[in-house]
Amino acid sequence: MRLAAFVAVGAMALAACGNTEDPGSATSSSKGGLAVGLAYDIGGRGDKSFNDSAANGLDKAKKELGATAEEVSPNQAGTDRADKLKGLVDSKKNPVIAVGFKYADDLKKVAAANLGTNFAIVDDGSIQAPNVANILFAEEQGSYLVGVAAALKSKAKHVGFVGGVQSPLIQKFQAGFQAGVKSVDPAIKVDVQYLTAPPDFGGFAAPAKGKVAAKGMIDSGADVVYHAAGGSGSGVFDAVVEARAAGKAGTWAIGVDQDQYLTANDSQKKVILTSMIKRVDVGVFDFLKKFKDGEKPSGPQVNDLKSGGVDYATSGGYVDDIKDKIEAAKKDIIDGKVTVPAKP
Amino acid sequence: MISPLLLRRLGMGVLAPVLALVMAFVIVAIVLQLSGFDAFGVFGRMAQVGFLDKYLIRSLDKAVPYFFAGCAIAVGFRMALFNIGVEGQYRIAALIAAWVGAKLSLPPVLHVLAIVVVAMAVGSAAAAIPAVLKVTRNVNEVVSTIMLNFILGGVGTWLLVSYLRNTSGTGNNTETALIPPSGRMPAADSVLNAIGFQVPPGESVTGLIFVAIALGIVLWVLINKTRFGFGLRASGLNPIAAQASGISSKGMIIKAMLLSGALAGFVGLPELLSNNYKFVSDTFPQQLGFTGIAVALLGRNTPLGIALGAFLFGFLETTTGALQFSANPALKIPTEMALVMQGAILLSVVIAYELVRRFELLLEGRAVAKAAEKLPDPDPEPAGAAA
Repeated sequence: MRLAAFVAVGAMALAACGNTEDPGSATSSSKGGLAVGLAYDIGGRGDKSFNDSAANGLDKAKKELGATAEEVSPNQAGTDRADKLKGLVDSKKNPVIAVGFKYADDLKKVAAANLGTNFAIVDDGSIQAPNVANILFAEEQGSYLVGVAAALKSKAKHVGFVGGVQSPLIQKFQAGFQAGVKSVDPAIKVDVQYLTAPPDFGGFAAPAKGKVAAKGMIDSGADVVYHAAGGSGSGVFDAVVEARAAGKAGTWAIGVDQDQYLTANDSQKKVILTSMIKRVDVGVFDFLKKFKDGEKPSGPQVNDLKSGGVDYATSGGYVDDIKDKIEAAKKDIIDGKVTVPAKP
Repeated sequence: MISPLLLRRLGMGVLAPVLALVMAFVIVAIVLQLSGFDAFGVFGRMAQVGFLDKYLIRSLDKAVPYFFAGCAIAVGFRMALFNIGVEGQYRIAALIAAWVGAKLSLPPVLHVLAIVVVAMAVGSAAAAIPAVLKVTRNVNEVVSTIMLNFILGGVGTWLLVSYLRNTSGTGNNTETALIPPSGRMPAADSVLNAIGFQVPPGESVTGLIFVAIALGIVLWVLINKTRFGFGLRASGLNPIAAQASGISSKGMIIKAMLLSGALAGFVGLPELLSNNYKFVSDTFPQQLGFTGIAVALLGRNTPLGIALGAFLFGFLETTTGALQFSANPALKIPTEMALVMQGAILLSVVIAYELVRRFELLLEGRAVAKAAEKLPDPDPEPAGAAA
């Protein structure tokens, strides 16, 4: 039986010999226009988080720059990231954007083998190549500002940080937040907790874990909790809502990535003091715009407070009373008077 | 001269895989058609793309770790031991091997050998835990190995984050340091080119494919031609009879699990020795241990069968991946469809083999009955053959 199967496969292989045309590369690409290849991280478009933020930037480029795009995402095991990048190059997409630092090793190789194509990678600064742009964000600067806000609002002189996954990237949020808090009052206590550690990335999608972590901090006396935990953040908000209901009136939560006041439900809205905004969409769009304008961006494309790539949110008006001080801190960073640490 | 019995065996042998493939095709075609895709277009495109050099080479490369995982699982399966823990075993083995490999400085061949030995040793050690639990406390290995997948995963993460990681890296990944060039495996490309393949630029097949072939042969000999293999198969078929005839079941459990764990140690080596040269916590291939279960079932636990199964899984992954770039929306199936296809094939194979086995039993029963009728006859030959 096994012999038969082997012969069958062998015959098929022989039959295909000599056929070297590659239909995989024969897909259409718009002539002269901006044909973008975008490789999402696992989950792809529709994750209401990181991938969607990149997708927003792409959609804007489709509308304003007339771009066409091929969008792909890797399989769950993550064994085909290199295949996806190669496929985008083969189907004549230029530039090719990889969303997330997990693409770093694969992109490095594919970029080196395809010098005629321009690449960009979000959140990775390790690749240095003439045809690779690194779309980076100064998450620590935005986190510093919400740290200032947290410190000014904390009556208990005790705040908390909930990180989704213990990785160097999320530690940047932690470092900036701690520095911001300490800049107001070095005596304020900062609790730090991560929900999971790699390779378990469940910490970005576990509201229950986020809630337990935030509740633990509130129970031990913290009254402002900042989360950098993606989808787990709604659990953090719920914990604060419950604390308010239990009589802890001055308890606040701080959101991340997007202005979460705008997407939260009505009860959560009341507790979201501000959000640290990371504009992946702006980073992606700016890169595409530069490319369209004839530039071939390469190297670090830093999106910081100065460029508007990171910022803090004012929706809800809860930080109106301390806005002057936050703006002063923002100005200090932009002017270079304050350098925010990126490592805790 | 071909006896009618041999002819029947051969017929059954062809029937099972053909039946399985037809069933799988029908299931997948229905799923595709219901999801709004052109099923026959998809199959046609997969067959067309899959045997182009580029994708064929890619499938071969992907098949290598699947083959190792399948072998690790199959060794257990042969004696009815379900080592579901290959997943955890290969990941911890790869992590430690990557770290040791980056620390060592040895001449080229020795360096690679040292990494292989470390991976095998760690895989074995990890598999020894459920083996000892089973032998001493009679803990079901399915439960203990599944639980150990989580425990070993956690231990690996802790080790990597706290001790083994490369702190001088510039990226956002949590990873070990690079294995130096002396500890890397040369690619198989030049050999493959010499024997008639054409490895296109940008593609490469891991040199471990030759290790896989050698390992497959060794495993076949070990299982079919040695005392150990006899004990393994006997314990799997009938543990009580095996024990009665002097085969220590406890000893066999320990040996089989250690061997399975050592083979699991190979699963992560293609990534370490010929692709990325480091263990990256976020991107190191996952779930290969579970894919190995499917590959072993598909290959009926024999090295050649596992090799074909591994290639089939690699083939499905590359061809469905290529379809993502199709210009025709009716062919642009999502990546997850590869999983659906793998599942459908697996299910069909299990069902088809069972159906054919029962059919065979039925025919055999009839043959025996026929022979029994003829018993007074002076020529007893057919009865002997039917047994």
